[in-house]
Amino acid sequence: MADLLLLLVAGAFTFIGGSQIALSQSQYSKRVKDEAFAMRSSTLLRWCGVALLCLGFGICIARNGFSFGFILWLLLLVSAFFAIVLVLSFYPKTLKWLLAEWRQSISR
Amino acid sequence: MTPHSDFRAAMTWLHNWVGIFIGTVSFAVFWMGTLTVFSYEIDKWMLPETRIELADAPDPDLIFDSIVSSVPNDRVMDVSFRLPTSREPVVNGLLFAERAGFKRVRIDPRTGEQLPERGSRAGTQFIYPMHVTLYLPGNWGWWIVLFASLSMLLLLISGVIIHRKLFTDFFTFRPKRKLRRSSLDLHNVTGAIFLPFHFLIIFSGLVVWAGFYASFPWTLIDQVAKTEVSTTYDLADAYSYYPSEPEPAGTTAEMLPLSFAIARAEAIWTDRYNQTAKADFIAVHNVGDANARIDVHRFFPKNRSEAFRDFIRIDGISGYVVEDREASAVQAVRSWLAGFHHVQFEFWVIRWLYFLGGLAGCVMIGSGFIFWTASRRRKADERDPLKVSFVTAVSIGSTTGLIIATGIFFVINRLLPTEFTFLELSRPAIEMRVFFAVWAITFLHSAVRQNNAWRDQALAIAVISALAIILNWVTTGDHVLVSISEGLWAVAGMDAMLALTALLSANIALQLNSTTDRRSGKERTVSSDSLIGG
Repeated sequence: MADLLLLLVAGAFTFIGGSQIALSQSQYSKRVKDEAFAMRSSTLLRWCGVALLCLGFGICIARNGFSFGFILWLLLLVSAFFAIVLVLSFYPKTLKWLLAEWRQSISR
Repeated sequence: MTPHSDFRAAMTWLHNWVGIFIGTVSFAVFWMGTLTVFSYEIDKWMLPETRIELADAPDPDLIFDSIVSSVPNDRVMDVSFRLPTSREPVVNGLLFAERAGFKRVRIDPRTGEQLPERGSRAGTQFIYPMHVTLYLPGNWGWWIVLFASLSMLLLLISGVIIHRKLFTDFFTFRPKRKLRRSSLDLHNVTGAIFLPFHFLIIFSGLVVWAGFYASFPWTLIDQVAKTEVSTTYDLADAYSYYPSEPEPAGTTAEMLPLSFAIARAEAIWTDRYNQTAKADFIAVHNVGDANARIDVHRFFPKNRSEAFRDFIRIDGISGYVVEDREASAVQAVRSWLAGFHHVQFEFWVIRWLYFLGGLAGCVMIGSGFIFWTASRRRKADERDPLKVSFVTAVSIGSTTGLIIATGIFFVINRLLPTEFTFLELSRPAIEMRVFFAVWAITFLHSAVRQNNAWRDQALAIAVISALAIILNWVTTGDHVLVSISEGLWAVAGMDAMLALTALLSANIALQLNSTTDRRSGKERTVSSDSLIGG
C-alpha cells in the first residue's frame, strides 16, 4: 500500500511538472487560457516543472534504489507525458487551475 | 541544397522505406511483446483449470515427488520446475527420463495431483514465443526479429533527426485535423514521448538474446563441418548465465529434501543482500545418483530489475554448496537489462505501465503506416497505384489483421473442447493454425477492400472481442462480476481489456463509416477517392 501511495505521489508530481513544462510554451497555454504569457513567467513555470520532475525522480529512487527506481520513474514519465498530450488535445481547460495558481503566485 | 538538408532528406528516405519494409515484423513483435506482459494472466483466461488459489506454503518435495511419479517404472534423471506464484499457481514441471525422454508435467501444488496436459499454448507458450521467433522454421525467426530490432533502433534515431520541431511539437496531437496530419501527430507524439522506453526495451531485448547471436559463428562452423554443436562458445559462455551439466556417478544414493537445499540458498542470499530473498526455480540433476545436484535459482527477484543472476548449486546428497555464482560485471549489466525486458516485477502497476508503453509502440507503427498511405494515395492514384495499394494491404493486414487473429485465437480456445482433435491435430495445434490462417485472410481482405478494410476489420475486432467475453462466461461461468467477487483478477482484467477493445474498435468503425458516407456523397460528383485520402 505504501508503494502504491508513493507511486501516486511521484506520478502526480510528474504529471504536474510535465504539464507546467508544456504550458510554459505559448501554443499550449493559449489552449488552456486565451491570453499571452510573459516570457519571465514561462521560464519560471518551466523550471518549476523541471523541479517537480526531479522530485518525482527522487521519490522513486529513495524508495526503490537506483536500478529499480529509475525504471519506475521512466515509466511514470512517459505515461504522464502521454496523459498530458491527451488532456491538452481533448480537455485542455482542465489544466486551467494549474496556470491560474501559477499566475496568482507570480502576481503576488 | 545544403549538406545538412541532404542528410535530413537521406534520413527521411531511410525512415520511410525501412519503416514500410520492417513495419509488419516490428508491429508483430511489439504487439506480442505487449501481450506477453500479461502472459500468465492470458494463461489463466485460456486454461480455466489454472484458476486456482495459490498454495499457502507450497511444498517443493511434494511437487518434486509428483513430477517423478508421473513416469512410473522409468528412471528419472533430471527434473526442473518453477515454484508456484500468485500469477502462476500451477506448477509446470519438466523431466528427463531414460525411456520417456523429455516430458512436461503439470502439478497442482496444493495436493501434488497431476493435471491433464494443457489444452492450449496460450500466453506463455504461444504469444511469448511468437514475440521472440515469430514461429518461423529453423532459426529464421530469431534472425528476422534481430534485424527488425536493429532497424527499429535505426528508425527511432532517424525519426528524431527528421522531426523538424521535436521540442516545439512535443505535446502536439490534433485529432480533429485531416487524417494525414492527425496520424503524423500521433506517430510523432508516441515516437518522441516513448522514445527512451522504446529504445531501452528494444536494446534490452537484443542484449537478452545476445548469447544466442554471439554463438552463431560457432554453430555455423559446426553445421558446415557436420560436427556436433560445440559446448565451448567462449564469448557466449563468458556472457551466459547457465551452469554446466554435472556428470552422474553411476551409483545410487538417497537425496536430501529439496526444502533443505532451498532454505540454505535463501539464507545465503538473504545474508548477502541484507533483505529476504526467495528462490523461484529449482533444477535437480542426476536424481537419486551419488553425484546428484540441486540448482536453486532466483530468476526474478521481487521488485528488482534483475534476471538470471543468483544461482547456487548444492550437493544433493551431502548438502554442501558446490557452486555459488557471483555475477561478473558483464553479467550484472546483462542481468539489469534482462530484468528490465522480462517484466517479472511483483508490483502490478508497473506491468500496466509497460503494457501502455507497448501499446504506444503499436500505435506509433500503425500511425506511421496510415500516414504513409494517406500522404501518397492521391498522387499515387495517378502515377503508381499498385505500390500504394500494396502498402495499404500490408499496413492493414499487419496491424488490425494481427489483432483480429489474436482475438480469434481467444475465441477458438473457448469454442473447442479441451480434448478436441481434427486430422490428428490437437487443440493447441489447431488454435495456432487458425491464428495464422485468419491472419493470412486479413491480408487478402485488405488487398481486396483497400482502405475500406480499416472499417471492416475494426468492426470485426469489436465483434470478436465481445464474443470472447461471452464465450468465457458461457464456458466457465466466470463473468466479470464473478471473477471480481472470487478474486480472479487476471480473468476480470482480461475481460475488461476485451470489453475496452470492443468499445474502442466499434467507435472507430462507426467514425470511419460516417466518414465514408460523407465522402461517398462527394465522390458521386468529384472522384472515386478513398476514405483515407485526406
